[in-house]
Amino acid sequence: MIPMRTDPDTIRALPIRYILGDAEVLARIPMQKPFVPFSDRTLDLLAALSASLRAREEVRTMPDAAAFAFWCRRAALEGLKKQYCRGRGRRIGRGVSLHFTPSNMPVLFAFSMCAGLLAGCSVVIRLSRSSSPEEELICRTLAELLDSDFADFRPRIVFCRYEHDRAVTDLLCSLCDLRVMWGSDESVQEIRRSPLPPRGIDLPFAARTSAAVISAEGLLKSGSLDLLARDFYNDTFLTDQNACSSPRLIYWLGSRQDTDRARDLFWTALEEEVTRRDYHVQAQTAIRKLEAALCLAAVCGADQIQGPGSTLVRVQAAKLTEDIWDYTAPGGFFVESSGEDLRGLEPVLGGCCQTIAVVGTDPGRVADLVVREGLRGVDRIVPAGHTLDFALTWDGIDMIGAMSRQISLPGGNVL
Amino acid sequence: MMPGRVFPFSMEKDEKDRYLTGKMIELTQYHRDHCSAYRKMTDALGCDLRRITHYSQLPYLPVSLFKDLRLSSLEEGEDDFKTVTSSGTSGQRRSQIILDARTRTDQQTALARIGSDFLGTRRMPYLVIDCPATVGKRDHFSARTSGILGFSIFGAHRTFALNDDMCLNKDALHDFLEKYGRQPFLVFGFTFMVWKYFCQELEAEGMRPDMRRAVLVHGGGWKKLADQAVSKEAFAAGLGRVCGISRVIDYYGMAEQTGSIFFECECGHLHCSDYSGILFRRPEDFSVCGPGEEGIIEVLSTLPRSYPGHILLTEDQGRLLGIDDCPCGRAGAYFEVSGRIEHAELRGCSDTYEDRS
Repeated sequence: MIPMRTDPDTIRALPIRYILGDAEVLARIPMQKPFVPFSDRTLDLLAALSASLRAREEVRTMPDAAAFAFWCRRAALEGLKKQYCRGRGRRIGRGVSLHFTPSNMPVLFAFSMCAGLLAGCSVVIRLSRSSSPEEELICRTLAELLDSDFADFRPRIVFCRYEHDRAVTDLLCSLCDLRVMWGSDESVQEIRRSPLPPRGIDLPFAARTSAAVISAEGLLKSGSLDLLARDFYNDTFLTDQNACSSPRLIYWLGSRQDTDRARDLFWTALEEEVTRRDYHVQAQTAIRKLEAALCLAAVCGADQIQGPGSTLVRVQAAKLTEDIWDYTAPGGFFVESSGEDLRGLEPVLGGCCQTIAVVGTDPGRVADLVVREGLRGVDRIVPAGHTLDFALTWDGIDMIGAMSRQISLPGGNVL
Repeated sequence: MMPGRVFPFSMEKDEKDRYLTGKMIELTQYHRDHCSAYRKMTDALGCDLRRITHYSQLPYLPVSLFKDLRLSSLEEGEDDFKTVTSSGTSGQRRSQIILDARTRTDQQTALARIGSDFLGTRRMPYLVIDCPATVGKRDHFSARTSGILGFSIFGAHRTFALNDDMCLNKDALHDFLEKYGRQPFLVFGFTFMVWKYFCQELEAEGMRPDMRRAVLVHGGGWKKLADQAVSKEAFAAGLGRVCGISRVIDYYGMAEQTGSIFFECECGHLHCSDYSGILFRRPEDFSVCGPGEEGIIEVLSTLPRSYPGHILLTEDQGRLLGIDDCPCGRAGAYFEVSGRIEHAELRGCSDTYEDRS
């Protein structure tokens, strides 16, 4: 018999609330055997979760949960499997993955769980303190599957909650082989104070910021402004422009005349969309936006603040500097700059810049700039409307690769 | 001026609008000339002073900006100044306010004029619900320090009711009441501290000092007490029960704006003096609220010269109750403060360790 790393009584004594699993399951989770990435059984479970969710009435009123269910439908998973397993050699999950997920992206925990399971790991998730209807629905649906056709996954999944408690975090970290940390810089550093086992691996997804590059000519030619406004609204206002991948800066690419025209059209269309979707700004957010705009003017040399009290606050900066990211705000706040080429954008593509949403221009141009100039930022370039799409490669980290290990074989790895 | 209107509550609406608009334009120009960051900010907002017809059109700075930036309008080479920091729990960022001698003097004068309109001109024995250490460091000021020192002008024989570890100094309290308890005396403290370290302590200790002759002046906001579900009425009732204090004067003011202090009159209304202005703005677009409509409070003061804090957008909300017609007889606007603006709940990736404070 394999000795247990931690005595269940010790775990039972800790102030943990279990949403899935219990102290027994948690105590024994290090003994669960890892699976190969994208195992048939894992795909069956996630596809069943997708199907059960989509069959529920409530999901219709929860776009986030619906998007998650759509993401893990069988056809999509099969596609990911093909993409991930081709030419990757023999791999197996690392063991126990521990996930810390944030409070106000209600379904991020579910995506994080999928990444862990698909890599072949068992999964322990510390859910945020407050639950959401989306979270509740997904947990309930998953619990039903584990109680019926997928009992074999019961020892492999624990969802829990606890108040900030170093002792609990220490214990969870001692049980895991890797941890996935979503949150602000402070939260990530706070979790890191708890040691991992010597060979433990960290996947930190700390605070990032994002920008959009819009080709003026591309926009003027496209003629589908309503569609662009809708996509851009979804990229920004849908999450209060507070997600890491929501653009807070717009770089206009093109001649001055084109840019002036494109800008007018774009903002008018976006304003209409904001009105149509009935977006409201709370007082504190409105004040934060004004504060950020004024700081940009005082510190970073921004030239003009438009609509300082409005839903759409725009700050014009002739020249971009990296410290601009220190003074942006959520909830409808955009720094704008422009240029004939991408050089003016370069200063803001430092380490904290994650996603670039592109409109009417080749994503490869941005990637070329990053590689050519050896920049620290930009992990992801997507068309407008897709900044919030979850992907298994996030912040430049291949989550499946990082959560599984490769068994090297003589004469190369491909088999 | 109506008969009976007395400085600093003398100006009625038309006169006040004219006076304050002129004064605010002049101060805005002054700070544009003396603080380059302020000039850049007002330029970016497109501020054109020639087109201003009313003070409500002038740019306002959010109070929180003083946590990001150290804004100074000191004359070049001026090194006689103090830095006041706002109150705030540990770990929070604090505002930094630069006060030179002139602005400090003006602030003291305004406080004296405004305060004596409510408290009388005679100095009274002065009991401070705080600890001596709060006024210990003379070059680095907290809002508490400023408050205690500021109100000293109304008092004599200043006595601290708390020890430096914030526990009740029973001997000091006993001696003070023994000597001065039979005449009118002034008690000053921050609302929360008066409640927690004084009223509740007396109650817990079973002490019932006779403080019927006291006038309690307190400020600093109701947020912490509201969090503990202590209402304004419960606060007053508690003080009455424990030590017999019946005259309680609330005031509204902030470290970020010197000279703006708003006392509550006998009718329970906060009054705007001749030194100040007050506006309420709608959160949707920062337009000015109608009378009685709740909005974000903007405060204006004719005094700040060493830093550009003459027009500030606070994080409090309240509403205008009336102008020039309070039964207490004071001219000017009177209003109420309903509390802090609500903390915004945003979506998006945020703290895994949310709500730590």
